[in-house]
Amino acid sequence: MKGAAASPDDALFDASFERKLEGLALVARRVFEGRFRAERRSRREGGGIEFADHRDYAPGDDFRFVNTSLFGRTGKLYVKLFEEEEDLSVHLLLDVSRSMSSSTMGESPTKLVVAKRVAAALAFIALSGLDRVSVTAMSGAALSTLAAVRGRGRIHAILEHLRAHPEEATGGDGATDLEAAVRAFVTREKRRGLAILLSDLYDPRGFEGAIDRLRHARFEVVVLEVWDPREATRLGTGDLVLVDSETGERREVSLTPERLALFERERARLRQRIAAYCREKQVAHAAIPIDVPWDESVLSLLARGGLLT
Amino acid sequence: MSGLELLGLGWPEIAAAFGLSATAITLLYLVRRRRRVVTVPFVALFARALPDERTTRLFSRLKSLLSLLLLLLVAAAIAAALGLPRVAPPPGEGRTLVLVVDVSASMQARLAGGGGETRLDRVRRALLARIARLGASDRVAVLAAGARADVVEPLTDEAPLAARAIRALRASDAPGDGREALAWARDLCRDAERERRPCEAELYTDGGLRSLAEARAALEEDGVSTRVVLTPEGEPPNVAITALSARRFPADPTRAELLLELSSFAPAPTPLTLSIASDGRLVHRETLTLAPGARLRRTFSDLVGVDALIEARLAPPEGSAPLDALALDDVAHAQLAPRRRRRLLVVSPEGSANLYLGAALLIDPYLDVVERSLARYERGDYPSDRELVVFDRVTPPIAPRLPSLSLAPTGAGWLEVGAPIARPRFDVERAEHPLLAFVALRDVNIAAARPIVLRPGDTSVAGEARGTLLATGVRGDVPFVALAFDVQESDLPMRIAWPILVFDALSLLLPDDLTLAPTCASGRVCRLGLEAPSATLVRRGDAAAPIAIASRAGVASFELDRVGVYDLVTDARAADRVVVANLASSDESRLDLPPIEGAERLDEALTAEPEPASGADEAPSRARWPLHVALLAAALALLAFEWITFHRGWTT
Repeated sequence: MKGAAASPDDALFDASFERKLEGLALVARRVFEGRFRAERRSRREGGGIEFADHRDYAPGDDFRFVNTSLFGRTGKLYVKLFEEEEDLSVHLLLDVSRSMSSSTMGESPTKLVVAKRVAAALAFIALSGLDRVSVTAMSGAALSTLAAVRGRGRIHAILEHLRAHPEEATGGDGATDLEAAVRAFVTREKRRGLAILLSDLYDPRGFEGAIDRLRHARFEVVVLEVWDPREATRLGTGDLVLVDSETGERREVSLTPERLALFERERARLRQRIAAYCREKQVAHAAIPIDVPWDESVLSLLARGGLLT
Repeated sequence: MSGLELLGLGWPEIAAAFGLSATAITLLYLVRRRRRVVTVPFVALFARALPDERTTRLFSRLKSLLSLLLLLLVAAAIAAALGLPRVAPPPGEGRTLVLVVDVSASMQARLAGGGGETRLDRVRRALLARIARLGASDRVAVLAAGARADVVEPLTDEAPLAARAIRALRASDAPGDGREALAWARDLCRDAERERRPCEAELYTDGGLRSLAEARAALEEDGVSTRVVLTPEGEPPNVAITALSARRFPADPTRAELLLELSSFAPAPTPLTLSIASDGRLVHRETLTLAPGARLRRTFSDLVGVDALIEARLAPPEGSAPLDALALDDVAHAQLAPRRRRRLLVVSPEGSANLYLGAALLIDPYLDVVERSLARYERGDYPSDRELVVFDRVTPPIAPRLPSLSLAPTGAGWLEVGAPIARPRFDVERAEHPLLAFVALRDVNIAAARPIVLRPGDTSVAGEARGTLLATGVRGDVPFVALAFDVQESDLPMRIAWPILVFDALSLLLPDDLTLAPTCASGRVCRLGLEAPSATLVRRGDAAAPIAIASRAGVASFELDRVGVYDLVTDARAADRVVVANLASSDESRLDLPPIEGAERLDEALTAEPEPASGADEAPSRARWPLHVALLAAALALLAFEWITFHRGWTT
């Protein structure tokens, strides 16, 4: 997406960015040692060492897992089931619609740039914890996915993927249709895990459908709402023709300070609605303002706990 | 019903100012109304925040026009304020009074027993009293009738303005003419009557205005009531220099003669002393007595130099008391016109100069001579400013475009000559002809000549039976003089007649314009020979601004209102010539009051002053609501309102 050009690609993940990633990973390890992996187990039953349940024996079952003592007491064959401990899958769902990259004055990084940096940071932290990380860019109903990778050394693959305009690789129309994109994602992605949705949630159809789809597909959902605190004030006052970055819809407005205040109130209402909905659905939610340095935003996310733990 | 009248800009100027500002405001408004196109991430949010924006678009546009309307109102208020409008009295209320004041030279005459007060001083005093009695709704205009009319104060109902104009009245040094001023008074009264205001013209004069009767009759014909008020006093004594001029003797430009005319307009014999100074040096003084009504003309020869500034002055025989009531005509100046430098072209055979001709031309320092051969002449290789050409023993084929003097024409060109004759003599002379002034040619010995062939209209000035030896005439509208023989083959150059004959010929071909003299009559058109394209005249002893004059075809035309001596300055150099102006008007010097039908005396007129038509009990200058202040205040208020409403979003 061309909007990403507001921030040159080379500057997106530069050397200082990578240094900050190292620091963040260190902090994350120190604070969340053992929690990130140990406490986030999959519910999959299989060949782990922790007993989970019994079930009736069926032909073909491994005879080694037959509970002989229970057979002695009841005379029936039961097979012991163990909770299989597997790697956590972290799915980074990045909204790359045009609303994420539109910049009114071009004076600060766009929401997409900030979202990419935060996504890269989270990916690095996850990879450092030996988790699997996949990155999916969503534009309209289209997706562009970097298949799950594992190991800290693969962070460069993720950075390259983010740097290489995944918004264009989606082949989407640049509009936001979170629900359709999530539907496509859950259909394609069999490995459940942590789904981190990075978006401004500016969806004419509503943001709720996308969150619900993830929830119903048994993903553990984290919503990171990327927002621009100065979105309205950058417009200034006067007679304007506002053009929707995605739909191209035009609207003539005469902005005054009072009207800008009305807009701010409306946007605050939307954000409150997002937060309330996430709270109601027990979905982790955090706001990432783009006027705050991305590393501070990531630290803030880590410090909140409960969000990624 | 009262209307508005403007003291500042007129309605057309106000309309133009408003039009310009309204255009500018509208353009700026349109520029402001051009909406910026801005891409936003999610326009639906604005739709939710400003749900009425689209539904009330028409109303919003109407609201936004309010801003333009307010600004246009501000511009209209400021433009109207520039006109300094005020409420005019209703039509028919108040009268219009046009005061025409004679400011001719005779109004400088001192009143007997007036302690030095002049006629104009007395009129001024009377008019100030007259103004003070005007009603609040009355309007007054003040016109000055000098050599030309002048509107000293246009119609005003502000008594202080009219009073200031009356105090500023100054008498000129020129004769006055009443026609123009009274015609203007008639026009003003016509305008006033169109507004249904009664109008009256009052003329304050000593009766010395030219064309007074005709102008007054014209006013009466138009139904304009005219009062003529005469200044006091009947026949104050006055003697005057009514003419002073100097001229060169035509036959001897190095000598000058002076003409002086004295006139007495005093009722009794007047003893006086006449002094004549040349360049400030007294050259003549005499005491004489002028009888009442006497006119004395005197000429003085060889009294003054040809380049001198001459001053004639009349004074009482003894003491320093003023000679008479009007000092202006007791002094006169005269100045001879400088001799004009004549620009000659002499065409001779190649390498054969005529020393006798050259010597004769050298005698006159006011000749500018350029010599050329015939070949160069025919190529046009000579300065274009030449005024006269002398053909010495050559004759080009084509007649010259300049006046010419031909010596010994060859017969091969434009001037026809006959066959050579031996030893011709001047047997026949037209002695009265200007060519022969102070010249006798009868005994001149000549070796040979080719007589001039005359055409109809040519004049044979001198010759013999075999042909004409000296002739003048016109070829192609250009005059010529021809001498039929080579002076080098005669004894003419040995005689005094030779240079005089040459100068007579030059004077005949290029006569001086005697009207271009530097002595002018005040208030009349003066023509002055001036080669520079422009010059300034600075009056001696006067701090007034210099008078700029322009020259066209070598002549400058101008008028001088003040008598005296003026330094003529060209090209910012020091004064190189002087111009003098004299009153030189018997009519102005005659100070007795002529009988004018229906005229009132000043004192009588003041006592018989009619009551003001209205508002006499009001203050002379009626207090009026300063509309322009109110308009500016309204403009400020509108501007503040627009600013506030814009920031409140009402007019956006």
